[in-house]
Amino acid sequence: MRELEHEKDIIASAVEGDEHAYLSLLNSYKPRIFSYVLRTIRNYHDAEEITLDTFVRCFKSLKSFDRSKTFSTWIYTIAHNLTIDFLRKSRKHYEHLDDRPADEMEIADTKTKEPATDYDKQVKLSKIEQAMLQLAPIDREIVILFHKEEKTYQEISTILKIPETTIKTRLHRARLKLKELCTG
Amino acid sequence: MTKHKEFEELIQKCLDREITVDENISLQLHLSQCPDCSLFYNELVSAEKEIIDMVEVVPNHGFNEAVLARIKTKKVPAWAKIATVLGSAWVVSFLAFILIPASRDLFTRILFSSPSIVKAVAKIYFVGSTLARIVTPFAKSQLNPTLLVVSILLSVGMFIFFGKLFSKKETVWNT
Ligand SMILES: [Zn+2]
Repeated sequence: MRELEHEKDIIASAVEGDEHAYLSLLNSYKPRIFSYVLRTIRNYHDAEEITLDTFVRCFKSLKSFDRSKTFSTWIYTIAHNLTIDFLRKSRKHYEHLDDRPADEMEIADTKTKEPATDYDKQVKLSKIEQAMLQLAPIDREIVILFHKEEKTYQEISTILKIPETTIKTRLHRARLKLKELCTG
Repeated sequence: MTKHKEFEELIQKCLDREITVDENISLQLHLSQCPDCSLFYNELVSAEKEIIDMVEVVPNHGFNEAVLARIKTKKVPAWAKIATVLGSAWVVSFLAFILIPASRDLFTRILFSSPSIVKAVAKIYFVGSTLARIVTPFAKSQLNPTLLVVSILLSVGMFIFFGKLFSKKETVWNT
């Protein structure tokens, strides 16, 4: 709670153009946002570009940020939107969850499995990282946002713009899949 | 998959951070008695722990600087803007009087042949160049009414000053 109050002060200073405040936000969110984007798109260079754009967009529109809301949810929303834009532009597979039932999506996932990219080669992947790559990008996002970022279903729904029930269903499936891949 | 669907759901609910106290008590009790569900639970929990422990990756050095460079809008102080606009207006209008037409000889010759025309042309040129100097920076940045009024007033002042200078020179050259 205290941390959040402190963050609000930092955001207020950043709105005033305080460079130290920008750096403080950068240092606390950079690893999280970058890892989140990298795990979704699996390309180091592109992830860096998207992360850069995320912070630039975030800082430039900081004045319009509603400070009664969570900053973290807001910056993840920007990162997610830019990631989707990137995947659309580069015509990589990404699911539009609102349109189709979960079962259909599961089939689509396996059919359009992405080829390995430089991320796979560059980073010596742990068992869980390898298992994560077997998930659809959207499921990777859900898993990271829920377990690593400790976001609520409501917050994830805001970030990804998909219903909470869909997120829950997908997370349950993803968990089972990860468990199977890690123990099997 | 376990034989006990009900407890499987409770385990998911537990990982969803949505389990109630009573539900948790009944789950823990069952886990202590059922090896099947216990294994299922432990495997899920350990997978979750691995997710939490996944290392965070950072972008290359110079990332912060790159972000700051992109958001920085250099704030030029108002006095610097005024000084630039008026200073350049002054220089251009002065040079216009001294150097245009191309050489002083030519200037003088034409001046002797028809002083009133040259005077008129030079004045027009002065006004034009001064205004251009004033207006261009304004067009590039945002229009500041106060600055514009000050510039115009000073331009008028300069115009009168050069006008007087001009007529003095005319008198000297005529003698
Ligand atoms: Zn059982």
